[in-house]
Amino acid sequence: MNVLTNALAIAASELRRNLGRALLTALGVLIGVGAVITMVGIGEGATASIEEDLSSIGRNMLILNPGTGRGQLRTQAPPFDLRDADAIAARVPYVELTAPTTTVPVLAAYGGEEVLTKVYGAPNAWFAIMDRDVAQGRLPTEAEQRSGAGVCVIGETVRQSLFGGENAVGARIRVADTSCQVIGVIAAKGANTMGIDEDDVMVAPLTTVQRRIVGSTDVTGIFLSVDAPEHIEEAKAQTLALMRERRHIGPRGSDDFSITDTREVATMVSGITSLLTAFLGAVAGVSLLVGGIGIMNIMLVSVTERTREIGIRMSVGALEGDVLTQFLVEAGLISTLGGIAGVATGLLGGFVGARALGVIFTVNAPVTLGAVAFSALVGVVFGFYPARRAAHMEPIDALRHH
Amino acid sequence: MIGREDDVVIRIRGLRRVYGRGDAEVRALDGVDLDIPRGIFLTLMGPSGSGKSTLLNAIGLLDVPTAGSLAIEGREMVGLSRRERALARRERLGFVFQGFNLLMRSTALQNVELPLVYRGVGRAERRRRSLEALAAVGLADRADHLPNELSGGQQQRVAIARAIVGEPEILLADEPTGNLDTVMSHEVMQLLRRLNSERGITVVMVSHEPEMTVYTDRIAHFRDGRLENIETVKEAA
Repeated sequence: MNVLTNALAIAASELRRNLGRALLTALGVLIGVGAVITMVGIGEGATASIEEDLSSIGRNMLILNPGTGRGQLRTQAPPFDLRDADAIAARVPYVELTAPTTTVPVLAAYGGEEVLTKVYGAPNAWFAIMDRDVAQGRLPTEAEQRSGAGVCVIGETVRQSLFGGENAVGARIRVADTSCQVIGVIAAKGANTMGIDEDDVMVAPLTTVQRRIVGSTDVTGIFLSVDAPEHIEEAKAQTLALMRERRHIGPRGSDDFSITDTREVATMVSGITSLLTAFLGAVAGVSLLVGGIGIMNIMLVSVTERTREIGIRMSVGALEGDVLTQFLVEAGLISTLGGIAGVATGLLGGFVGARALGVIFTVNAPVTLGAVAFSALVGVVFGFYPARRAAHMEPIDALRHH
Repeated sequence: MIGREDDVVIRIRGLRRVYGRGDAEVRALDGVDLDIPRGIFLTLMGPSGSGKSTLLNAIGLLDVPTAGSLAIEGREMVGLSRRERALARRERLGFVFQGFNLLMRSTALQNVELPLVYRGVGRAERRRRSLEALAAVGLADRADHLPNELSGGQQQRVAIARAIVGEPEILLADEPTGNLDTVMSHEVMQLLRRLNSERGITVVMVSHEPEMTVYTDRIAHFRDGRLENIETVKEAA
């Protein structure tokens, strides 16, 4: 213990003497540890944000759309109709609610303001399936649904664009070539995992949209809720089979519609983020390795410079182990100090980065403590070779060194 | 004080130290036999390359002989592991070098304490014994000085204090006055002589200054890696 405390004292005085050099060396470790903690912090923050979205994404939900593929590659296919939704509700077990919808982009206007948004023609079941509700006003009544009344519920983004600080409920707005009365404002939800603003939306009775805006009885999407997560797979398979039958697709024919399990998509995105976190962490880990090599360099220089001192210490009774300990402690001290400073830097970087990216700021305690421990380890591992070189010197050679 | 001839503290037989190979081979020690009695003050003399320093380093377990036998207190030292040599060195031997070899960033006291640090002596005890050793070399009032604040003679006395603080049986001095002026040289030699006679420490010194040998008991003359003869120094007038 005596030798260890003594080695610590020697190391501390060596560091003070070569402060600039020690700081530069520690900087390598600082950057490495800081990078690891920042990257892991931001990555985990992003994952946590996604998982939070995931829990608010609505019930156990499936969405049917005609056509397959995405974006430009999406195939054209005949739309659904109301009877499809009824058939699913009647024949697929576990399905609780169905909401046949038709979605269309529209220009909405009020006073001098205009906004491009999209309107869902949907029954009130849509709100239950999507886990949404009105913050002000009300949903359409049964009678309004049946008659296709000119009423609509608007999202917060639309309300903000058209009304600003004014009261929206009760106002009459233009939507495409018709008009409707705002009867409610949907509680704000913000952007989802894909960055799409879920408040940039309007909802009107399905009949209203079909008759007044689209001019057909097409259904372009069917939203389903399933009673429990463990039944999603089963419900999905049965819905698929049912719809293939209804759309007369033979056993060899490929689907001309898609069923999206939103939770699956979110889980996939979350998985990608986790992978990215690990990847970034690994890249940052490489910089820690480079920092370690910096320590080895400095320690080798230090051993060469202090060869004579090592010889003196050996001649007055230092054993190999004493010399080894002295240099290992010195290397460990440099890297640990760098590591601690790196934690501070990394946490700060993670905080700032998370703010900038709009994700949750998380501190991963095991990673943080692990980074400090690892930095100490880096010092000891990379200090070992120089230290061993010092300890293995023949005292007489060390003493003759000038 | 001359030791009893039958109480040999260092027994050397057929000691050889060869550097290099083939044509480049140099026989620094070419078969040396020597018995060093306990408590003697022995000078090793000879021209440059005669093997005197090589022998001192071998006795100091700083260097490894090529062949032969070297026993200290009856224990064979040739063939010991590095660790065993280091342990024997710190147990029994003290060193004084021509270049002092003090740690320049440590105070006189810290330098003297160093051997005790590696022996695991506690802080208070270490300090007490080191101050005692500094007092023995007449430098009690210089304990907190750095080496470059001291004269050459004082630095060498600090080095001597460091060499004796662990109470070694044998003190090895490699041209201890080589870097000192005449006045300082005599001071250092008187100090070594006093430690030898008062404490009974066996002192083996390498020197090429004949006037310093008057403080010693015997002179072993070396030439070409061989011991030529041993001369007994006449009592100083």
